[in-house]
Amino acid sequence: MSVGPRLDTPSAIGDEGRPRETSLTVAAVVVVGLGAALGFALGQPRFFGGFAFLASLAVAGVAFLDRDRLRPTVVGHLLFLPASCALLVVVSFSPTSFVLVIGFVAAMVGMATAWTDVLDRETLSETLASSLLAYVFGVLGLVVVALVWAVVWLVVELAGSVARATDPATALLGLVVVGGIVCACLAAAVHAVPAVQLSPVRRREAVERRVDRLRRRLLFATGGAFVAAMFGAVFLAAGVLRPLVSVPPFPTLLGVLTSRLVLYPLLAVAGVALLVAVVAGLARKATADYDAATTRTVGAGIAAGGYLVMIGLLAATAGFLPASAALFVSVGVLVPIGVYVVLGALLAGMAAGVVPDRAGPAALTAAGLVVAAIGAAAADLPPIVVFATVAGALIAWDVGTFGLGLTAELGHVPETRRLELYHAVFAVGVGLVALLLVSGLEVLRHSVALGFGATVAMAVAAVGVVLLVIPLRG
Amino acid sequence: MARRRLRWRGAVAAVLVLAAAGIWLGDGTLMLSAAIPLAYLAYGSLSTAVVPEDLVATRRVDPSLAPPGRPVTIELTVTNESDRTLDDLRLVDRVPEELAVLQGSPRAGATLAPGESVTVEYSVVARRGEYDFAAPRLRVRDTGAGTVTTTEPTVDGANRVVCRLDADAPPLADRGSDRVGQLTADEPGEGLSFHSTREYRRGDPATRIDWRQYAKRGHLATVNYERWVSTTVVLVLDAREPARVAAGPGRPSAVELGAYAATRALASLLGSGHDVAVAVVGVDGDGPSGLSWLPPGGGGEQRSRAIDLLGDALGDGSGDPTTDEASNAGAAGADAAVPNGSGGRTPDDGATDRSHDAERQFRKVVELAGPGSQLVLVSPMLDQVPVDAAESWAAFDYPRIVLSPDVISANTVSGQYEQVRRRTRLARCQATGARTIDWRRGTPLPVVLSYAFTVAAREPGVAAGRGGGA
Repeated sequence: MSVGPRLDTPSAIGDEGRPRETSLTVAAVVVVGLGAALGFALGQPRFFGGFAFLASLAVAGVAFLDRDRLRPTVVGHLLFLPASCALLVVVSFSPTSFVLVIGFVAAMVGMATAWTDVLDRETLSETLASSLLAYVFGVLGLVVVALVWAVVWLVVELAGSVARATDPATALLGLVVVGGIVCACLAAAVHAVPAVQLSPVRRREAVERRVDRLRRRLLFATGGAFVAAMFGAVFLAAGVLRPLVSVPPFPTLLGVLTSRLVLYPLLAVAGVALLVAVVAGLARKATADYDAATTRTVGAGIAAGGYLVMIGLLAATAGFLPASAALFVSVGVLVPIGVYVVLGALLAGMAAGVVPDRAGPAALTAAGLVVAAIGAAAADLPPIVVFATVAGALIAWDVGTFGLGLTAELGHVPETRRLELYHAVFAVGVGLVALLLVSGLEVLRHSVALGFGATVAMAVAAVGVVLLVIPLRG
Repeated sequence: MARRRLRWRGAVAAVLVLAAAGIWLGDGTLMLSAAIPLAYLAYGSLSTAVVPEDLVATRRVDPSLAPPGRPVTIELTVTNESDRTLDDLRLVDRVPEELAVLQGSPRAGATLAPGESVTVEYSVVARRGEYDFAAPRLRVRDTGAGTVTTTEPTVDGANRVVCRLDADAPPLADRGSDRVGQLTADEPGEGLSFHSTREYRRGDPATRIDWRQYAKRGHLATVNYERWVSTTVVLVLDAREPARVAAGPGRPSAVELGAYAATRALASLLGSGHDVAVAVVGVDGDGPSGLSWLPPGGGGEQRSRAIDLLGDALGDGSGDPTTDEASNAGAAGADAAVPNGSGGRTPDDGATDRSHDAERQFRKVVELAGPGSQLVLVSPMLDQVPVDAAESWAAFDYPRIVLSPDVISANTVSGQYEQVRRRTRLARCQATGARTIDWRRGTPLPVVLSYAFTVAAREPGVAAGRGGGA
C-alpha cells in the first residue's frame, strides 16, 4: 500500500519522450558507478549520496507539480522548492571542487528527469509558474504572520494595560473597547460560518432566523460599544465620567471585570472566532468555482503554509536568538530566487536550442559528466577516474539517445530489451577500449617524464584533433 | 539506400570542451581524455548498415473474410535467411489508414541472428470493403545506430483484409426447408408441437388420434398441432445521418453494423422460408416516395438483391462515419446535425428537411409492408426519430422487432449519458409492444440473436403468438 501520491502512475510516466527502460537502467548504473568511483577517489565513498537524495526529491517535486489534482500538487510544492534550495546551498558551499560537484549534480538531475520525463519546456514552465505562486504566497504569509503577531501583541498590551489600570473610568473604557472587539469578531464568525447551509433542510428557516437575529444583535453590540467608548472618552475628558464610576460598588466591580482572568479568556474567544471566520471565508472562496486554476492556487496556498512551518521550525532550531532567526528567515526568502534563476536559465537554454528538446535528459547527463570530469582533473583526482567519467558521459549519451529514438519510432508497446542490451554492450565496449587506450597513453606520457614542452605538443595535438573532427562530425 | 544520421554532435562538443579545458588548465590528462569521444566518433562513422537480400517477409490474416465489427488478427513475420547478423532491425507494418488497431502493435525492433525471425501480431476491427496492405517498412542500423538503411520488402501471404456483410451468414439450401416457414399461427392444424385436442371427426388420420385420452376416458379425440406458416418480414435499416457514427476511429459505423445484422437476419429468414423485404431509410432510392425499397421475395436471388441494396445504402452518402469528434465520442444525440466549420452543432433547414424525409419514409414502409407482415427495425437509436417510427407502427398493430447495435463509448461521462438516453429509447420501444434486442459492443451477433430468441421462446404465450422466426 503506498502512502501519498504515486510517482509511477501509468498516466504520469512519459510515452514518447522517455527512453526505454533497459537503456535508462544502463545509463543509471553508469552514473551511479561513477558517483561511487568519484566518491572513493575523494576519500568519501558516499560523498554524492546526499546530493543524489536532494536532486531526486527536487525532480520528484517537478513530476508531481505536473499533475492536475490537489494532493500531488501540494506534495510537489513541498518537495521541489525546499529540496532545490537545500541542493543549491550544499552545492554552493561544498568543500570539494565546485566544478566537480555541479557537474555530477547536473548528471544526476539529468538521470532523474529521464526517468520521470519532465525535462521539457512545458513542464518546466508550469513548475516555474506554480512554484513562484507558492513562493509569493509564502512571502505574503510571512508578512501576514508578522502583522498578526503585531496585532496580537497590541491587543495583549491593551488588555494588560486595562487590567493594570487603577482608574475605574479608564478601566471601564478599556472594558467597553475589549467588549466591542469581541462582539465584532463574533459577528464576523457568525457571518462567515455556513450554519444555515449545514443545518437540516426542515430546520433551515428557523436556523436562518436565529442566525440573522444573532448577527444583528452582535453588530448592534459592536456599534454600541464603540459609540459608548467614544462618548466615554468625551465624558472622561470633560471630567464627568470619573465621579460617576468612583461610586461604590463600581470600582470593585470594574476591578473584577477588568482582571486578567476575565479579559484574557474574552480575547481568546475573539481570537478563535476571528480564526474561524477567516478559515470559513477562505474555504468558501476556494470551493466556489473549483477548476484546474483553483487547484493550482489552493495547492500553492497550502504549500505556502507548509513553507512557513518549515521556516519557523528551522528558525526555532537555529536558536532562539532573534538575530539568527532573522538570518534564517532571510536566507529562506532569498535562496528560492537562486533556484528560479537556475530554472529560468534552463528554460532559456531550451528556447535557444542549447538544450535539445527531446534528448534533454541525455544531454544534461552527458554534459554534467563532462563537467565533472573537468572538475575531477582540476581536483587532481587519479587520471583513470577522469577518463572513466568522460567514457561514462559518452555511454550515457549513446544509450539514452538510442532508447529515445527507439521509443519515438516504435512506441512503448513492443518488447525491445534484447535490442537495447545488444546496443548497450557495444557502447560500453567501445568506452572500455577507449578507456584502456588513453590510460595506456597516460602511463606512457608520465613514464617518459615529459616536461613543459609536452604540454605545447599536446596543445598542438589537440588542435590537430579538432581539425580531424571537422570532416567526421558524427 | 543508407543514410548517415548526425548522432554524435555531442561528442564533437565534448572533444572541443575537453581540449579547451585541458589547454586552459595546462592539464595533459584532460587533453588525452578528448580522445575518448573521438573513439565514439570513429565508431559511429566507420560502421555500415546493409540490408541483406535474404530477408523474407510473410503476412497472415485471420480470418481472411470477416463481417463488420469482427477483430481480424494480422501476423507479419520477417526472417533473416542470410548469414549475417542484423544488429538493429526495426519493422513497421503499414496498416491501411481506414482500419484501427485494436490490440497489439504493428511495430517491432529486434536483433536478428542468421535464421532468426521477428513477428508482429496485432488485431484490427473489420470494416466493410477490401483493404490492401502497403509493403512494410524495414530499417536496418549499424551497431552505432549512426547509419540507417530503409527498405520495403515484398510480402508473401495475405495482403488484404476483406470484409463483407454476408461473410458469416449461413448459406441458403438449394430447396428451402421442408416446412413452410417456421412461424406458428393461431389456428391449429398440421405440425409438430401440440396445440390442443378436439372431438374426433370421421376422416381424421389415425396418427392424430389421442390414444392416451381414449385409454383413460374411452372416447376418441383428435390432436391439433401448431400450424407452421410463412410470413413477410420487412427489414428496415436506419441509414440516416445521425446513425452514421462509429465508436471510434477506424471502427465500423452503426449503419455498417446494422447492414451486417440485416444481412444475417435476411439469410436466416430466407432459409426458413419466409419472404423478406428490405427498406433503407435515410438514403435516396428508386422506390415509392424516394424510399430505397426491395419488395418481398424469397430465394437466392432475393438475397443477392437485398445485399446489393444494403451495400448501396452504405456507399450512398458514404458509409464512412462522420469524423465529428463529438459523434465519435458517443455524444451523438437527438440534436446531432451536420458538423460545420467551427466543429459545433447547429440545426439548419437542411437537417430539418432530411428529418421530414425520414419520417415520410418510415410511414411509407408501413404502407408498403402489407397485412400480416412483421417489421424489423435496425437502428442505433441515437435520436428520437426511430422511436417515433416504432410507436407509429404500433398503431397499425404490426409485430415489431427493434435490433439496436451499440456504438457508444461509455468510458466518458458524455458517453454514459448518451448510453442512458439510448436505453431509454429502447425501453420506450418495448413499452409499445415491440421486442427489443440490444446488440452490445463486443458481443457476436449470432450469440445476441440466439439469446434474444431463446429468451423470447421461454416467455409465456410466445409459441402460440406472433413474433420471432428470424
